[in-house]
Amino acid sequence: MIDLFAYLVLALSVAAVATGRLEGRYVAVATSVVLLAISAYLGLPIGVVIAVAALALSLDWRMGSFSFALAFSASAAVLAAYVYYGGAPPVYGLVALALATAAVYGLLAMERTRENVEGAMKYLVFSGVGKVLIVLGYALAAHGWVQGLYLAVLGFMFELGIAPFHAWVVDAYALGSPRGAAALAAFSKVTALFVLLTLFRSLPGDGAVGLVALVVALASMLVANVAGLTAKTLGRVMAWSSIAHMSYALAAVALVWWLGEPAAAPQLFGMRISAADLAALVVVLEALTSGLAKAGVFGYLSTAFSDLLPPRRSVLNVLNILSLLGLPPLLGFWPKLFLILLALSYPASIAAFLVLWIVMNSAMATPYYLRALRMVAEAPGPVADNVTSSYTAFVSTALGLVMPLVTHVLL
Amino acid sequence: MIILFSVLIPMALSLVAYTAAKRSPYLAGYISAVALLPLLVISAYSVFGGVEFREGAFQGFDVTAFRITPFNGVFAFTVALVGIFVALYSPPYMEHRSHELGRDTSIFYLTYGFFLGGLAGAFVAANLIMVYVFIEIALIASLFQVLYYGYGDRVKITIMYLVWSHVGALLALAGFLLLYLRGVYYVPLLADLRYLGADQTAFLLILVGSLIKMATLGVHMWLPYVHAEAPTPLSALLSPVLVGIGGYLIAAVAMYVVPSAEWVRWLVYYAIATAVYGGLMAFLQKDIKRLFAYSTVSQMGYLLLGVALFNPHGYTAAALFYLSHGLGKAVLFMTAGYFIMYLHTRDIGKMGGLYGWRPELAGAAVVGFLNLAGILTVGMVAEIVLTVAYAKYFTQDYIYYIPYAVVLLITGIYAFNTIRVVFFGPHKREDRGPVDIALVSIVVVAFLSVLLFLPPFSSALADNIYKTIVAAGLWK
Amino acid sequence: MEVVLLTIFAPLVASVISLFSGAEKFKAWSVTLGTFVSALLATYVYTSLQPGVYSVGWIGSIGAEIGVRLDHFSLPMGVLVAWLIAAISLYSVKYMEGDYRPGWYWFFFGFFATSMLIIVYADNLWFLLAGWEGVGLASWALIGHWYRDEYDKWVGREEKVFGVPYWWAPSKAGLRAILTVRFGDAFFLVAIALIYVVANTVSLTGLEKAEALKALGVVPLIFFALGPFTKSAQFPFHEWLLTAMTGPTSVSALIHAATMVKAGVYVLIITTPIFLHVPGAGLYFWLVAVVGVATALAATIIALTSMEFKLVLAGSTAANLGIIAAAAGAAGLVGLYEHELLQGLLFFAFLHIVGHAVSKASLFMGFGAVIHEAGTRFIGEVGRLWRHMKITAVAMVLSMLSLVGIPPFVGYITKDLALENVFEAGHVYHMDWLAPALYLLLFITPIYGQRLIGLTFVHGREPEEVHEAPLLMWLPYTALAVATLVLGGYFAVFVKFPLTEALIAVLLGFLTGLVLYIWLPGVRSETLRPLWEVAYRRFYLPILYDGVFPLLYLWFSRFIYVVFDRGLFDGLYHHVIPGVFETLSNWARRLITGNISLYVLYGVVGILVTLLLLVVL
Repeated sequence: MIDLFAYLVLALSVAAVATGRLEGRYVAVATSVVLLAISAYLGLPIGVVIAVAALALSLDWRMGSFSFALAFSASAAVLAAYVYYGGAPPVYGLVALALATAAVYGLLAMERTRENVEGAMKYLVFSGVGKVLIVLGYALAAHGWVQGLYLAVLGFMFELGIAPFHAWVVDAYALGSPRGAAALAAFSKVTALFVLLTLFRSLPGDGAVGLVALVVALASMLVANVAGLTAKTLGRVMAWSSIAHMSYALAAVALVWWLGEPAAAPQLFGMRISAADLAALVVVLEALTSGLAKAGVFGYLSTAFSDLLPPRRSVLNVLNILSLLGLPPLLGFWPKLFLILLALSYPASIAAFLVLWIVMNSAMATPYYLRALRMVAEAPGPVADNVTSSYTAFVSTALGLVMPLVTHVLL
Repeated sequence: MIILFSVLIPMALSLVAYTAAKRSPYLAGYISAVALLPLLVISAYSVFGGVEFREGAFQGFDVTAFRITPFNGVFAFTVALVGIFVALYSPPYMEHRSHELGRDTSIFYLTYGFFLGGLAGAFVAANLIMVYVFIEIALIASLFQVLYYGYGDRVKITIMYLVWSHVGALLALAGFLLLYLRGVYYVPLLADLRYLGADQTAFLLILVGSLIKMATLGVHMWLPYVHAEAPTPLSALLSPVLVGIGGYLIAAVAMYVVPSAEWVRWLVYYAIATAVYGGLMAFLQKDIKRLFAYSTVSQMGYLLLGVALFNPHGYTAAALFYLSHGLGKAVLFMTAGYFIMYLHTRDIGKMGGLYGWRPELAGAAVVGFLNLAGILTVGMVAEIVLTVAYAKYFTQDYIYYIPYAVVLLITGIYAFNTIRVVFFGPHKREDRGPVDIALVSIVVVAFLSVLLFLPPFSSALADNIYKTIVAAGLWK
Repeated sequence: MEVVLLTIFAPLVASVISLFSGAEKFKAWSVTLGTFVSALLATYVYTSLQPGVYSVGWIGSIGAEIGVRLDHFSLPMGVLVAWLIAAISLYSVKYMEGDYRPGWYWFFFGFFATSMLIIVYADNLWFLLAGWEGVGLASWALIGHWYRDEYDKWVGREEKVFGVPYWWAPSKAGLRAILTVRFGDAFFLVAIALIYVVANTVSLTGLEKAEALKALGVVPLIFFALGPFTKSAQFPFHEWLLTAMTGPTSVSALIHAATMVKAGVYVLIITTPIFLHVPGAGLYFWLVAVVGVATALAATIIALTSMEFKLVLAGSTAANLGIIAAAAGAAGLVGLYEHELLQGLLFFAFLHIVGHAVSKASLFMGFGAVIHEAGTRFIGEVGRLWRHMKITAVAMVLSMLSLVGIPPFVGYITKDLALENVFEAGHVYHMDWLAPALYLLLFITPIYGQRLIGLTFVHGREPEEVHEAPLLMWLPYTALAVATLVLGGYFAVFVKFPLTEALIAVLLGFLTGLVLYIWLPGVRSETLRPLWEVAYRRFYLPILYDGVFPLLYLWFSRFIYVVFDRGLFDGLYHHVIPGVFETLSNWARRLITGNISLYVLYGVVGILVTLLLLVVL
């Protein structure tokens, strides 16, 4: 089934050569539709969601030749999802990751302003380092060296922007082109997270590495939420939000790496589920929440970069921001809930500490999400909601509302 | 599905109210009030008729499980009743406020139905996660009201309110999840469970989360700020109906996992301390809305005491306090709003001799205070039942009755002193306060609190609640 | 049963009806009509209904019932109270004419009447409590009736003693009243709850038989007693009654002389047979008796030195209430020894309620007329009024003679009978200080009575233009004044005409008073001045109640506010914590400088840290 993707990428590459003649937008739209078809055929609901996001973005923005980049990054994301769900060899996931990075780099630098280039470059450097570490680590670990896991995890920290490797995230989001930032969130990070999950499933866990990763993730959560409190522009707030969300995702996986399966398996909506599966669910939902919401928020900005107060209002993005905040019944509430549930399955003292830490962090984040909400809702200009913001807000709300059913399906 | 609908109808109709408010806040107010009628009817039927309503399977993880018994019915009844009259009261006030702010009242009415529907849902939902969801809905709805229509530094106050409430709700959620992991998916009181065995962590999480929402001593700090700066119709809802949710959660969930009698004893002491503290602080305030806010802290001490005494009379008293405080405080906050509208001040130093300005208002406000002091309104029934509960708990340890009497006295002190400072003394004004629907709402609510003291109503109330609680499995 | 309920609730119904019209006359006459209906029905109940208990359920979970009890106490008390209320209502129609707040007055008048009748007839303690709180509330409302706090409605002059103001405006007096009574009511409430928990019933008839009361200690009884002590202005809770004179005189007559304050001692009387069974009750009865005697003495001294008409009468009321309380307590003490004597002794205590009520109501109404006509509340500003208000003068002399206990007036008979109880208890329990104290009391009482009459009607500065009171006003109090004689005769024949050494003390006092205030126009003594000052300042107790206590309360509250509320809680949650976060947040963001080499540095540091953690953990 992997071949389908191979053909798609090949086709895109060929078409890229003929850029001058083809209207970029049609390419992106076509790719999205194809991805949609592939996902449907493969039975991959996540793929459908991602594909439609790409469709929305391509309908909204005229990106010229950069549409190819959009197409590549979307394909990478769906590929990574397939690698995880379809059980394909992890190496394809790594390929997807490389593809995504390259594409998003281009998208970030789209407007070619000095800021864009700076943001894009930082992304490239750190993401590149991250990928190298991941590949190295995976190779080592696949041969039985436990240090491989450590290197891979380190790589993910670079890739996802976990503190103290987070500095680039702020610049990438704030200085890069908003369309690029949308793609970063919706496709690149999602790809990375699925690769993480693939590794999580295929490699044996290690207690020490898990603990270190957990500690770093928790610290990163705190740093992100504290720093976000005084962030002044929309792009920066979103950046800190991203760091925080990625930290939650890493924490879930790290916890299971550290402590393994708990004595009593946790229950979800009345069904028993393993801790590993629950952690994976947290990661997937975080990917979706963060990706969709940020795609919506960045996807409505028409400026060259997002390190500013938005000039025009958006009503639907209020829902996206509330989802990021973690308000029920929106999508963003569920990964937090499941993470708390996961923590509670472990012995009381650890559980209590983790729960309190998560609750405090969520509470700390509320002021800056509120600020972001006001930035978006009270901007001076007229309402600028577009297909992307509508679609993402709709999915954030709808998925959140039917989450119990969705979990039945996903499990 | 009746219960679910009665909770969802206010939310649905708030969308209608939103569009209506763009034309006239009066129309929006009426719609918001009418939307609460189904809830009022069903809860009143339960409370006064002693009937129970049950929906959903209570098996597995059922999100549509709801139940109204006379105990939680009183809470829902208060929400509906106060909600209706505040909705009727709000148009003149919101019109006045919207002129001041230069923004229309539509967001207020949009969020009004969500706030009350969310709150009512939290009281009648049986699934623990649904309780949490409804609380958060109520929080977000009220948040927007403060953000767009509040006074002073609105944004800072909104953030304060959001952070405090969110922390409280999340802690409670964590506690619920612990129970959830033990296989308890439903509110224990509504699911007729027995005492679940000691669980310190779950108890503490739910207790602290609920206490934050109740604004008891030590975690009360947000209440004076938010009340004072929220638009008054919201204050008239926050104090009476929102903060009591904490008490309900402790009674219906936390006490089922209370670790030991020692813990119960400390909770009793804490409740008394809260009641004293709130009363002392209320006496000092010069801003009338802050005064009422501290009074709420004190009354929450009473409510918590009822729960903490951990006997059927105590629980009955807690429910009755919710009702009496709800009605009384609604009257008082609406009065404060009336002062803001027509006197343009919140400072009691500038008031005085206001009886002559509008006698009916003074009478209603006095009745409001009587509810707090427990004199000849439904508040008296609450106080009597609480005292019996207290006597059942402390029996012959006579020394403990002295703090209790002190609490009653402290409440009387700030209540009657405030009446004197505001309404008595030489006249300072020549005009008369206008008669409008705001005044009518105030007087009607005051009248209802007296009506509910009279035999057929008070008998039904107190006895139905008591029967329900005695039958609950907690004491077996 | 329905008749009794109608008797009780007719005035309230009339009050509610009176709210629906703005016309003062409508309000006044509707309530007066209600009170007369109630009075007539009470008489009917007295004459025709069988004694017994009738009740209907109210709140089962706490044993509350709407229950009435008809017995040898409640039946006569009901008649007394209902007729006094009706009489004073009639008086008020004229007295309150042209008032600026008729609606409030007439509503609370009827409300009060019903509450008082509830107390009289109630069998269930919770039902009684409802009435109890009702009279407290009505009292607060009516004391503070003239809420605008005009000078002529005050008690006291504009002066300060040790920095504490010695004047009380109506709204202040109302506050004092309700807070004092609330203090007592809190303990009263607790006591009833304790009784319910121990005996599982709060019905008075049920409690008389209850074995379970033996498990109750004496402390709940003391809690219980605090209710009547505060309601009946016993020492040290008597201050509120004195400043309650800011209310309209009809209110003073009704509530603070004839009925409400009697509620407390009435409850003491009717509960004595019940509390007899409680172990340790001796202490309780002793306490009641001692407090009663102390009140009587203190209040009499205050009455002797007051400079306002109504204050003398108020002090006198407190004193007589003390006598009734002492009589009740004494009856209990004696009853503990000789059970058969109990009911008789209690009945004597009860009789003084009647005797005093009739005399005092008349005096208040009469002096109300004096204040109304002469336009002053101070003794000595007008005088020689016998020339101008002949009917009033005669009525006042009659009532005063009854009040101070001169035979053959009813006041003498009932007071003497009541005091016999106390003497008896003192004898049985060897309390040797009791008899001299009572003789002193009996000696001083006629003196203050004659002082009041003398300085008002006999001597003093004659005013220009003072008429007799209107018919509708002098009729009620003159009728009552005559009744003191008639009732005296009735009791002398049908009950007992007491003749003891106490009479000597009374006559001695009467003679002294005659000389000092009727023959001489009063007397001033520089040597006695310091003593007089202490008494005039009411033993400096207002300094405690209006100065020290409020100040302590305020300082304590402020201390907690500054240290805990603003300092700890507000400071911590809203200044310190946000400040810390803000600083931390700015530091964290400052690290993002834009310089990529710095970012690389962070990355390297991060790797080193994780390696370190890996090794350590």
